[in-house]
Amino acid sequence: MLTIKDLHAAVDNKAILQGLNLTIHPGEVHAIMGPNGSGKSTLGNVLAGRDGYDISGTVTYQHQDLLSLAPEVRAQAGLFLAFQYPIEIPGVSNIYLLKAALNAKRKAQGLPEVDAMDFLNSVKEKIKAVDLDQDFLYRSVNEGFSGGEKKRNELLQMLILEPSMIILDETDSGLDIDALKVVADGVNSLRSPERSFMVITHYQRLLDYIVPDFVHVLANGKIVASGGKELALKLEAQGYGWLDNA
Amino acid sequence: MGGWIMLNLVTHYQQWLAQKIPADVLSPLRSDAMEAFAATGFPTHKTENWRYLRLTGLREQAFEVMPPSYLDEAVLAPLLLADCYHIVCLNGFLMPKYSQLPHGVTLNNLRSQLTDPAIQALIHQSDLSSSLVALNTALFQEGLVIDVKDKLDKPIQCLFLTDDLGAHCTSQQRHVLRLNVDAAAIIIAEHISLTEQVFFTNSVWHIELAERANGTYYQLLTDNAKAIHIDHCLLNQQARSVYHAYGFLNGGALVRTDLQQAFLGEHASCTVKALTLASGQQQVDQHVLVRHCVPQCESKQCFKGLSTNQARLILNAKVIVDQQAQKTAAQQQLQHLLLSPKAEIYSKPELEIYANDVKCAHGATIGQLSDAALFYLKSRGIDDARAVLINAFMQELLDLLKWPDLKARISSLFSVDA
Amino acid sequence: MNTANSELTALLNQNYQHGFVSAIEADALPPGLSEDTVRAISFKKNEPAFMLAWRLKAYRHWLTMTEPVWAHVAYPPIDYQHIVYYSAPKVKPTLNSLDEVDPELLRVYEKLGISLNEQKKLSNVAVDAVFDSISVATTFKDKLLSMGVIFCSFSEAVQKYPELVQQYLGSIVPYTDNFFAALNAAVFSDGSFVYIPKGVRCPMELSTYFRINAASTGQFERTLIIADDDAYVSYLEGCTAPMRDENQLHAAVVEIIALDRATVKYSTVQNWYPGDKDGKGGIYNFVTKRGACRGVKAKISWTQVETGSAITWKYPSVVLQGDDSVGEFYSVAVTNNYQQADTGTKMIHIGKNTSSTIISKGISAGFGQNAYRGLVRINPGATHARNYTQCDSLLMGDRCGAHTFPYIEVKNSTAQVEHEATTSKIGADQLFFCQQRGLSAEDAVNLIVNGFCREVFRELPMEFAVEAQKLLGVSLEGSVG
Repeated sequence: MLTIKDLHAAVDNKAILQGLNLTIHPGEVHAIMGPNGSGKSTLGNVLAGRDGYDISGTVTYQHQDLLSLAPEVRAQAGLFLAFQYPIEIPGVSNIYLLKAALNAKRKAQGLPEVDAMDFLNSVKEKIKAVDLDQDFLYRSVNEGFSGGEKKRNELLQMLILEPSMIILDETDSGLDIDALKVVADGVNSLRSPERSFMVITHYQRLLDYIVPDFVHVLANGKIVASGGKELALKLEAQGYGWLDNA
Repeated sequence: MGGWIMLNLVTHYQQWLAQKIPADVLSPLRSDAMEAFAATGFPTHKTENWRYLRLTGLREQAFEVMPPSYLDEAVLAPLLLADCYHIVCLNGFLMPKYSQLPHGVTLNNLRSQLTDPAIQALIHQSDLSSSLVALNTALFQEGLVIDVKDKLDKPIQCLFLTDDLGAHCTSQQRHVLRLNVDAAAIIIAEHISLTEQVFFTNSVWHIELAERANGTYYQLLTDNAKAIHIDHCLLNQQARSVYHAYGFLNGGALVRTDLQQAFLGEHASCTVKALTLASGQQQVDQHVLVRHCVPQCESKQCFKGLSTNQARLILNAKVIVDQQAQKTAAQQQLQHLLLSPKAEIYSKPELEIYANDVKCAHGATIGQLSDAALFYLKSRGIDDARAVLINAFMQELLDLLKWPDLKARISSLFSVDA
Repeated sequence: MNTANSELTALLNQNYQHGFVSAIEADALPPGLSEDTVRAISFKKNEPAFMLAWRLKAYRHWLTMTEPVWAHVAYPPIDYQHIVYYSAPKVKPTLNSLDEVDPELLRVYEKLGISLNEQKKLSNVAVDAVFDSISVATTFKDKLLSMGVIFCSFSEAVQKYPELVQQYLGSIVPYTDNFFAALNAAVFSDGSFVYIPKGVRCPMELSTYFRINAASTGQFERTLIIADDDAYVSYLEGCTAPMRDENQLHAAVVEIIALDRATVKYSTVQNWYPGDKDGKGGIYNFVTKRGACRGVKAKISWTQVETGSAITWKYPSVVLQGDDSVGEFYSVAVTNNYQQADTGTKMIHIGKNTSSTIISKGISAGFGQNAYRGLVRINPGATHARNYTQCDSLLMGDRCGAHTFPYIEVKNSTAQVEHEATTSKIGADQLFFCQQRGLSAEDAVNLIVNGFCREVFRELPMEFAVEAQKLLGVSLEGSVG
């Protein structure tokens, strides 16, 4: 699915990722943990194609050179970044963005535009699953949404777009336990042998609900430790301090 | 008709310059300034920046030079704020006897400083396209030069008094306030009339804040109901300087204040807040221009104005963001209450923006006390509900007056007949 | 950041689509302006004496005036003696049907996407086409007339309904109003005329397309709309011009009268040639538009999408005389390259319980300068007047400007006036978010700009909304659900 080799990224000559290697196979859930400033969010942004980074290294996604693709081409190819801070777009309704995004993806796949009625029915079905009121479809994208509503809106987009590689960037931040469960249930419902996840998080709490196959610890722009779920528990118990000596 | 009167007035002030102002280093500038004034005379409604203000009071009489006078200590004593340093001016003349300042501040008479190139440079910044500034530039004689070199432990109260000898006269004052690098000072500039007669104050301030200087300037205008007060302030701020301008305007028949600010260094901030009550036949006109010439500065403006009786309240607040002034944050908030049927309010918040990475917003409201709120308070047994709501409207700004006796004095002036 | 910017630039640099010149023979006066020019225009149009007298008064008054300089725009002096004040396509003296219109002219309108033939058959929009200030064809006239609705060229109205013209011409915008209005009154050659009788709801949108074709020609059209008691009409105006290196002057006047309980909706999609990317050429669009709510509960609503012209100077206004009358102004103004716009509105509250709403959206790109200038005046007699104003500016690129100059004058203590304004840029975050959801940078910009303008676009009639959307390169939302 995704192979990252010797990935470096810098902003204004300040190195953030410094030789990161990671391979994610179809169906796997990888958690990326690390202290603040370790480069977790940068990793998500670089993979999604955000501007403003000086990048070297290679990333192969579904046999394509990911780093050469424009952000929208990556998205159309099924790479989805759930933002830590979802963006507000005044005046643009949620449902319009959903439809535009889905059609962009279908067009890239050579499929016709989605039928308006089918689309509406499917959206109405899925918005129930994320526990948002239907009114949210007609409100401006994320404008005036609470933190939890924004995260559930990200989940709704995920459910509609059915991506193959999902990157969750600090999805648990700002969520209370009920909202966290809703989001986790939604994410778990998407788990399948064809779909992979990268779960970026500071705390192990989220991993109680989205159970990873692998846990990696990111520090100073590199993966410094990898293991199974138990690694997350160790981090929870001991903090990140012990890694300094590792 | 108007033209004829104006011509006479212009001649009056031209003769003043020719006969009463001794030749000095500024003579060439003064004569340019008088020429600029003579070309336009006092502004009329056709001058965009003055369109709502009726300057009939200035056009109807030729004011004479304000003479020095004697100050009665019994009169002065209750006006002096405790726990402050003091500067006292009477009829535009500094009274050294009553002015005490700490180390860290030097006070000079402007007259003695005219040979200083830095002072000359400041005076040459005068915008002669404004005819009142031009008039002041041509005729000013007296003024303060306040230099602050340290962080002061107490505010400086600057009292500007006018007594009966000043009646039907004008004082053209020019003041300089400079805060050195890292200096900090609070200035409380208070204008009080000791006469019931008309007089005309036309003052120009130059305020310079060096890097990291921190200045707070309270402007308290409480002149008598006939007074004409024109005040023009040119403010320059260097990097990381912080400036707070707090205005409390109440009194005077015709009041016009201009604050022309410029950010010349990055990461500086400027906050302007003013509470204005126009009542009777008063005309009060406030203009604020904040200019972001460099990136990363922040400006905030908050105005609350009340107009009652037949008064006319005018407010023009403008922000200019130059092309290079990226990352600017600028806010303007103008709130006005109209309290009686014949009161008038003219509000003009302006933004002129040439940079794209900015956060600029403004809002202006004009309205009246909420009937629902009045009824609610009355239904709870409060009989002066109107006064309660008006005070609530003003309170936020009155709270900026941190000295109890001053706050009491100013608050009493801002009471509106309910 | 840089890719986003360059794509933005590419998007903004889409060429002007209507810039062709048509080989249509014109009957034109030589350039220059004098009393003789005014007389010649009036003579060519076979006008009654009152019209010539009015034009001459306007001309003489114009001679005493100077060009206004207060707007936030800059341009070299205009040589008023270099302008052609009258240019008419050579057509048969009267047109009874579209078949008689010069086929070349019909082709011009087809190119513009306005098929007069098709429109006649298919759509429910009546069109008056004005070519170099001369009305060349009006569709659906008979059907409208059967309901008492008069929709014709101004010249025809002068001939057929002189009493209506005499009663209302100049009653809202007198020739003394301003420099360009005086000029227009002296030399205007045609325009549209609309009268909706008492109690009639006009069954279709009335539409005028203006086109400047001839070189060195000024366009001075004049529109007069009268909605009698309880009448309703929605009126649309579109404009295009060929690409030329020189600047051409367009100084139009629109007057609207709404009597008791009448409603007039006036929508404009202004797409005059804006000049090239270096600021060469383009139309000077100096227009006076004003409506008067003369009657109780009358309503006048202006909606404008201003994308064209080198300079736009226009303030569609409403004088709210009747008690309970309503004025609205919805505006999107785009300035790109070296375009300058100084536009806004005046809401003059005179009657009791009058209310007005102003929504202005300015988009500046390239070296464009975009100013909102608005006046809200509450007169002493206008008790319980209300105004809400919102002006938002969107900046794209760091060489453009966005300015807000609102004048608020309140002389009645029962007034409620509220003004809000914001300035922002298209955020890199917003662009990236949309791209991460699969939209191209261009679509993302369109989406964001469209969202920014939504409150204005939804005021446009469907037919125009589509055009406005094309003009901004934006696909309109709202079709789903």
